[in-house]
Amino acid sequence: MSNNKAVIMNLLPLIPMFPLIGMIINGLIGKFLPKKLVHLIAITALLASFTTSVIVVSKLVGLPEDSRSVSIEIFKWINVGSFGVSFSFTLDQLSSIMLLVVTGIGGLIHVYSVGYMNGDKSYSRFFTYLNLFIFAMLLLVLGSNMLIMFIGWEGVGLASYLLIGFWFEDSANAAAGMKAFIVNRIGDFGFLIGMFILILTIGNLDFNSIKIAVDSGIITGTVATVATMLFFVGAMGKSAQIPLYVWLPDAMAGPTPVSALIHAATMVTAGVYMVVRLNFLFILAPATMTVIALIGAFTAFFAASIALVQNDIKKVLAYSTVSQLGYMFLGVGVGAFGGGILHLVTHAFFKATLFLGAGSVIIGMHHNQDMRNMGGLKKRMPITHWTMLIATIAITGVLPFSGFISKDEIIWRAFASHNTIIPWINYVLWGLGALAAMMTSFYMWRLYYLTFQSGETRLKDHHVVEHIKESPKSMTFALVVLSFFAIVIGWIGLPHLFYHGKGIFNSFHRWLEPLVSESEAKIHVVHNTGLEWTLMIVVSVLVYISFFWARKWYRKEISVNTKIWAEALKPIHTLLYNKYFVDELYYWLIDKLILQFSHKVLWKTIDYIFIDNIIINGLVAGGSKTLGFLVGLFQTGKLQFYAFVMVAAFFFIFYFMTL
Amino acid sequence: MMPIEPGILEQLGMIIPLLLLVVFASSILLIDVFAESEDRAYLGYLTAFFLFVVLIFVAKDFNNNNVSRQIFHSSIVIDKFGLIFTGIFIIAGILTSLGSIDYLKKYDIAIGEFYSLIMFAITGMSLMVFSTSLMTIFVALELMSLPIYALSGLFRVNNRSLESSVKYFILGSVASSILLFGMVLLYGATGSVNLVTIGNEITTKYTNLKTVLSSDPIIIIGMLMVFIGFMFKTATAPFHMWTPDVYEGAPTIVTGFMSVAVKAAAFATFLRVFGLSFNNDALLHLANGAISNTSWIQVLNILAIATVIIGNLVALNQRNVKRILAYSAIAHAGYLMIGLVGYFITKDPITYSALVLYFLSYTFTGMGAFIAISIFEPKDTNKVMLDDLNGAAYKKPFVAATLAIFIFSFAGIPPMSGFFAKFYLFKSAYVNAGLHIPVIIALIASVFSVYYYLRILVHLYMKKDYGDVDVKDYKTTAGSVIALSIAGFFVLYIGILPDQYITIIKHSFLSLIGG
Repeated sequence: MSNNKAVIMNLLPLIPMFPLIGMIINGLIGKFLPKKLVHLIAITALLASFTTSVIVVSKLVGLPEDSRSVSIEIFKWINVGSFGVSFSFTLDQLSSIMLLVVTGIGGLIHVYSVGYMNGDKSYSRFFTYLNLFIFAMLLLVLGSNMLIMFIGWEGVGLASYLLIGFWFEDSANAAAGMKAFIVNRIGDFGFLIGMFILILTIGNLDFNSIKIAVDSGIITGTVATVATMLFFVGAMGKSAQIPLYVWLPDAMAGPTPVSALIHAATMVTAGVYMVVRLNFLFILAPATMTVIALIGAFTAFFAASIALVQNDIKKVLAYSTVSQLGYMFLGVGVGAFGGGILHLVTHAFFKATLFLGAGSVIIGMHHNQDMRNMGGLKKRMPITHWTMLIATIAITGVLPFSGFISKDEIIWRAFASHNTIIPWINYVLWGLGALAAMMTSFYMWRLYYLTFQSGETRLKDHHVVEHIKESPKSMTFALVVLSFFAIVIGWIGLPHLFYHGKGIFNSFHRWLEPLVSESEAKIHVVHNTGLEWTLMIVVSVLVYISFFWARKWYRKEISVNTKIWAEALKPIHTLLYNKYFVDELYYWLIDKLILQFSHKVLWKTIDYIFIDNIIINGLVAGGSKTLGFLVGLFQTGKLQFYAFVMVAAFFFIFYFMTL
Repeated sequence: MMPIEPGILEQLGMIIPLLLLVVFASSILLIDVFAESEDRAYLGYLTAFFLFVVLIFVAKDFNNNNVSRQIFHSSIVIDKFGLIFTGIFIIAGILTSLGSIDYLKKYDIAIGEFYSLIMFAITGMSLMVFSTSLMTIFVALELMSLPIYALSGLFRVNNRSLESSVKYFILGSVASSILLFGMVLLYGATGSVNLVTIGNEITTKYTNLKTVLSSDPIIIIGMLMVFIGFMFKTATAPFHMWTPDVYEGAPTIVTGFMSVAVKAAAFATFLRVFGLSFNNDALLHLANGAISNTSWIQVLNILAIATVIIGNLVALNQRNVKRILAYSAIAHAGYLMIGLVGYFITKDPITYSALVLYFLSYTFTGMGAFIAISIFEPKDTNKVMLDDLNGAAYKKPFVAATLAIFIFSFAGIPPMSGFFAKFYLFKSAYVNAGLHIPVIIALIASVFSVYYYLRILVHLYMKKDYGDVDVKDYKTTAGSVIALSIAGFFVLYIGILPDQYITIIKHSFLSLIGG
C-alpha cells in the first residue's frame, strides 16, 4: 500500500519531464535532425508520459479510497515570510483522469501530426511547440496549488499562441493568435485578483489549505463569491464562454491537430477542470454557481445557433466546441461536478475525432475547408467517413454512444437541481440545454451530409477532385482509436436509470465521489425516475427530429424546397451567419473607445493639438520667432510646455496635500 | 549620536568599488587617447571586464559586510542595500558596453568616451544609493546625470539625438533645481543635511505636535520637492513627458541604459531618502491622511495609476518601436511606483524584496530588449519603425528569439522573469500593502500592453516582406551575442528559480533598517 504511494511519488515528476526533454531536444537541435527522428523524439516523450501515467493511476487505484491523493514537492519555489509556494504535484482522482486524457489524446494527436504536418518546412518547430503545450498542460493539471496551475494556465496560452500563429505567412493567423492572447489576458486578470484575494484571506494558495480554510469557516460566503466570480472570469477566457468566447473560432486558423488537441480536447477545458478542482469553494457561492450555469447554458445555445449556418467545416466544429464547453459549465454550475468532468472526457474523444477527421478531409480536399465544395467523400475517404460518423452520433447524443450519457446527465441535473437564488431557473437552463442539443444534432448532421454524402464532390477543380484519397495511416490510426473511445468511454459513467450496481459501468462517479460528493450533497436534487425518463425521451425526440430535418435538407443535392426555406429565413440566417455581429461590436468598442481614446485624446489632443497648436504655435512661437535654432528645439519638443507641466503639477500636488 | 568612524584608510577600503570605477573609467579615457588602432571594439570588452571586476568586489563586500557602517562624516553608508543596487547598475553597464560595440560601429562612432561616460554614470548612481547626506545625493545625482546628457547627444550629427540631449539637459536642470531647493528647505527646517539627523529632528520636533507640522509647511514643501526631483528621474506621470522624446532621440543603446539603470538609481534613492528621513510617526500620520485631507501616499498612488494608464494606453498607437518601449518603460515605472508605495505603507521585507526583484528582472529584460532592437535598427536613422522589423527574425534568428523572450518577459508571461516579478510585486502590493484599486487598475492596463508587445513579435516573425534593409546592417559580433545570451539566460533563470534571489534581497533589507 505504502509501496504504491512510493511508486507514485517516484514516477509522478517524470510525467511532465518527458515532454519537457522532448521540447528541449527538438527546440535546440531539431532543425538539424532528420524529420523521422524529430517526430520519434516527440512521440516517444508522449508515449513515456502516457505509460508512466497509466502506471501511477493504476497504483492510485490500488490505494484505499480515502487516501487516493498523493502530493510530492519537487522543490520549494518561493518562501517569503508567511507566503510560501512549493513547486509540487498532486495526483488524485481528478488529476488522474485529466492526466490520462491529456497524455493519451495528446499522444494520438502527435501520431496524427506526423501525417498531417508532413511536408511542412517548420516540422521540428511544430513538434517543439506541441511538446511545450503538453508540458504546460501537465503543470496545469498536476499542480497542487493555484500558482503552479496558473503557470501551466499561462504556459498553455503561450503554446497556443505560438501554434495558432504557426503558419504565419498569413496575417489572419497573426491576428488570431494575438486575439487569443489578449482575450485570455482579460481572463487572467480575474484569475490573478482571485488569487490575491485568497492569499489575503488564508495566506496560501495550496488546494489543500483552501479546502481546510473552507471547512473551518475562515473563508466566508462573501469572500468565496468574490473570489470564485473572479476565477470564473479566468475560466471564461480560457474556456471560451460568453462574452470571452470570440477568440476560439478565430484560433481555428492554426493547424488542425492543434485545433483538436488544444482548442477542443484539452486546453479549453481547463476552466471546467479549475471549477471542479475548487468545487468546495464554488459551492460556498451560490451566486457564482448560478452565473456559471446561466452563462454555460446561454453559451451552449448561442454557439450552437451560430454553428447551424457556418460553411467552413472547422468553424462549425469551433462553435460546436464553444457550445459543448457551455454544457460542461452548465453541469458544474448546477453542482453536477462529476457530470461536467464526464462530459469533458467524452467530449475530448469525440471532438478530437471530429477535428482530426476534418483535418483529414481538409488534407484530402487540398486545404479547402468550405463544406459547399465537399460532398460524396464517403467513397473516397472511407475510414475518415466511418470515424466521423461515429463521432457525429456520439456528439449528437444517441444511445449508447458516449455523448448521450454525459450530456443527458447534465441536462437532467440542470432540471433537477434546486437553485436557492432563482428557484425557477432550472426550467430556463433545461430549455436552453435541450434546444442546444437539438441544434447540435442539426448542425452536426448538416456537416456530415454536406461533407460525406449529397452526391458528388462539388469542387470545380477536377484535377483536385481526382486526387482526393484517404489520408496516410498515421492519421487514420489516431482516428480509429479515438472513435472507438468515442463510443465506449461513456460506459464508465452510465446514469443510474440504466445501471445500479457497483461494477465498471458507473465506476466514473464512484471514482470521483470522495472529491465532489461533499459539495454535490449541498445541492438539493429532485429524485423522480419517471420525470427523468420523460425528459430523456423528450430531448432524444428533439435530437431525432433535427436529424431527420438535416437529412431531408442536405442528404441529396440542395433541393428547391431548401432554397425556399432559406429565402424565408434570410434575416435569421444573416444574423447567425455573421455570428450575431459580436465581433463587429467588439471591434467597434475597442476601435472607437480604446484606440481612439488613446490616439485622439491621450496622444493627439494632449500631445499634438493641444501642445503643438495652442501652446507652441499660439503662445510660444508667436513671441519668439527670431530665436532660430532654440525655438526650433522648443517647437518640435514642446520643451517649455513640459517644464510648465512639471511646475504646475508641483503646485497642484502641494495644493492637495496641504488643503 | 555620531557613530565612531574607522580610520581613513579603512574608510577608503570600504569604497573600493567606487574608487575602482573612477580609476577604470579614467584609464579607459587614457587608453582611448594613446591607442593607435582605429578600431575601438576592444574598449567595449575591456569596459565589460573592468565592470565585472568591480562586480566581484561588490559581491565580496556583500558577502562579508554584515554591519552597515556610516563613513565620511556620515555622508555615506556602506550597506547591502546600496551594494545590491550597485550590482544592478554594474550589470546594466556590462550589458550596455557589450551590446554597444556593434551599434557604435554601425554609426561609425568608435569612441572611448562612450565607455568612460557609462562608467562615470555608474559611479554617480552607486554613490547616490550609498549616500545618507543630501549634499552627497545631489552631487551624485549630477555625477550620474551629466554623463547621461552627454550620452544622449552622442550622435552629434543627428538632430534627434542632439535635441534629445538638450531637452533632457534643460528639463533635468529644472528637476535638479526643484530637488535642490527642496533640500535647502529641509536643511533650513532641520539644520542638517544628514538624512538620519533630519529624520530625528522631524521626530523630536513634531511627533507630539501634529498641528505644528500642518501650520509649518516648510518640511512638507521640502519633502515634496525632493520627491518631485526623483519622480522626474523615475518618469512618473505627470513628470514623465520628457521620456518619450528623450528615449526616442537618444542612441538606442543609451536609451536602454537610461530606462534601466537611471530609473533604478532614482527609485533606490527615493526609497533610501524616505526610509531615513521621513520614516517617523508624525509624517506617517500625514501619510495616512490624519492631518491633511489628502495624504501624500494617496497622491503617490494616484500618480502611479496615472503613469500606468498613460504608459500603456499611449503605447497602443505608436509605430516607432523606441517610442513603444519608451511608453512601456513609463508603464513599468508606474508598476514600480505602486510597489514603492506598497513598501512605504508596509516597510516589510516582502514588499521590499518584490520591488528589488522587479528591478533585477527589469534590468535583464530592458537591457536585452534594447540591445536586440539596436541590432535591428536600420543604419544611420536612429529610429526603428515596426515595419523595419518585418521578417527580421529570418535574418537574425538568435537575436529575434532572445528579443521574443524579453518581450514575453515585459508582458509577464511565465516562465520569463517578468511574470514572476510582476506577480510578486502585485501580490505584495495587493495583499501585504492593501493597495487593491491600484493593483486592479494596473492589471487591467497591462491587458492592453499585450497588444503592443505582441505587435513587435508579429512584425518580427509574421510579416513576409522583408523591407529593403541590407543584411549587413544586422551585423552582430561576439559582444552582442554574449550580452543577449547573458540577459536571456537570467530572464529565464530568475523566472524559474526566483527564490535564491529573494533570499539575497531579503538580506539587504536587514541592513537597510540598521542603516
